[in-house]
Amino acid sequence: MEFIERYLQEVGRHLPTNKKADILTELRSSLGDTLEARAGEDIKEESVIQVLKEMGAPRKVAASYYPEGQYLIGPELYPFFQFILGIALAGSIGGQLIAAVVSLAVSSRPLAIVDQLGQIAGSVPVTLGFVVLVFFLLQRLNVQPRFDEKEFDPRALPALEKDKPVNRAERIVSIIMGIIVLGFLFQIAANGGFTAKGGVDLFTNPVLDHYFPWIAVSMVIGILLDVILLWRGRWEISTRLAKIGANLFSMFVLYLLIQGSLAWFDQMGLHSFIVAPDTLASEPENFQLIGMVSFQIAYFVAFIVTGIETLVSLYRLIRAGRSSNASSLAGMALINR
Amino acid sequence: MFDMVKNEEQTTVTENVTQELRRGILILAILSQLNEEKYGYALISQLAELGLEIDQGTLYPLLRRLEAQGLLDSSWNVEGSRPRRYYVINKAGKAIRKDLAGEWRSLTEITEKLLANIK
Repeated sequence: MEFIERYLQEVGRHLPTNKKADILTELRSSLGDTLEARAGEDIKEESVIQVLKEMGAPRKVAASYYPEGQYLIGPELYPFFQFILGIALAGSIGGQLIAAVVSLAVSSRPLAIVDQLGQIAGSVPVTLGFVVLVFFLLQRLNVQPRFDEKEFDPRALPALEKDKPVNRAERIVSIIMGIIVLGFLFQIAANGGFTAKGGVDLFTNPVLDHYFPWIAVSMVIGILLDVILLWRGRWEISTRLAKIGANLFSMFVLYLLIQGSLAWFDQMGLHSFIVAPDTLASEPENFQLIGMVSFQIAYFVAFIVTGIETLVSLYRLIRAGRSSNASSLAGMALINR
Repeated sequence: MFDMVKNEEQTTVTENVTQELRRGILILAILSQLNEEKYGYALISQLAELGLEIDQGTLYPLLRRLEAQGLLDSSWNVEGSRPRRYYVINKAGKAIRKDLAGEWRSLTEITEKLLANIK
């Protein structure tokens, strides 16, 4: 009979504590009845094994005492969990990015950006863990969300989604690249310019330094927008408008940088940022000039690329509006048939 | 070879659907046999005699569920060779059983009509 006790011990491991003793007593009694009916007084090991096999694996038997299933977060709470988690993560990451921009803009510590990025990365599992814990407790307390009992009205269904799904991989890469570039810029701002390995100063960039808060704000807006897109999963009219707005702001910042650089070139006695190669060749030590020229070219390229991207976004916004109208008309035609 | 695979698949599908059909009637079957107090093994034996096999791992959790739903009452009896938990249908359970029985008769009538031309 030791097998029965071993079996019950294993079943008991997976049973709810408050009902465990009661259920095990009933199972023990039932197994005893079954064996007695089959083998009488002379119970052999083979008979016990056969009866236990018929009863089923301990974990399976225990699980059948949870008709509602065993969940960390049940299906009723899960949609709310997803919603709250999205808000919590966006709030946590977004808030910290803004805090990082503010604190690092005034910080002179070169490695401050590394600390800030580490904190942001560390906050993700903490936020996730906290939200899971709260919902786990709600699940344990059997808190069930109450749905609005209003009568279902098909007319109240949301309009057909004509929005395109977001390319998630593209957004993730964009967020990572944005954070890396932001970190790189913070490093430059913290060091007061570019330094070579070993702390040797290469050149300073006064224009970048001057407009640094504008660049940081523009980049944080871009990262936040990517996070929102990743969360929403679809391109909607609101997100397209936000993207166009963010791009226009970036173009404005790039315009300031271009103008600032041109003013700097003027100040240096150069009337164009296109410097003759022989000038550079004759002054190989002039890293600042090379750096400023490179940055000015980068601003121009970024300005053009952002401009094209904005036009594409604008075109897609107009097209989405048209297809939405067309689907409304198609629906009307269907009704009129 | 193809026919053999096809037959195996067909058997699996038949078994699964049969299991679902049987699962659907278990509650009504249990409620129908608990006019008098019975313990689990006695109920299993009685159902088996009437042609419905049900294993212990299915019956006991189901009895608990029906009790939690307020359709059955239960009590422990420690007088015999081993302690046994006895179950009996209560007033709410009888009302539900009446509704379920009506539903079952209606369904079987409809199903018979639907299957009338199928050999």
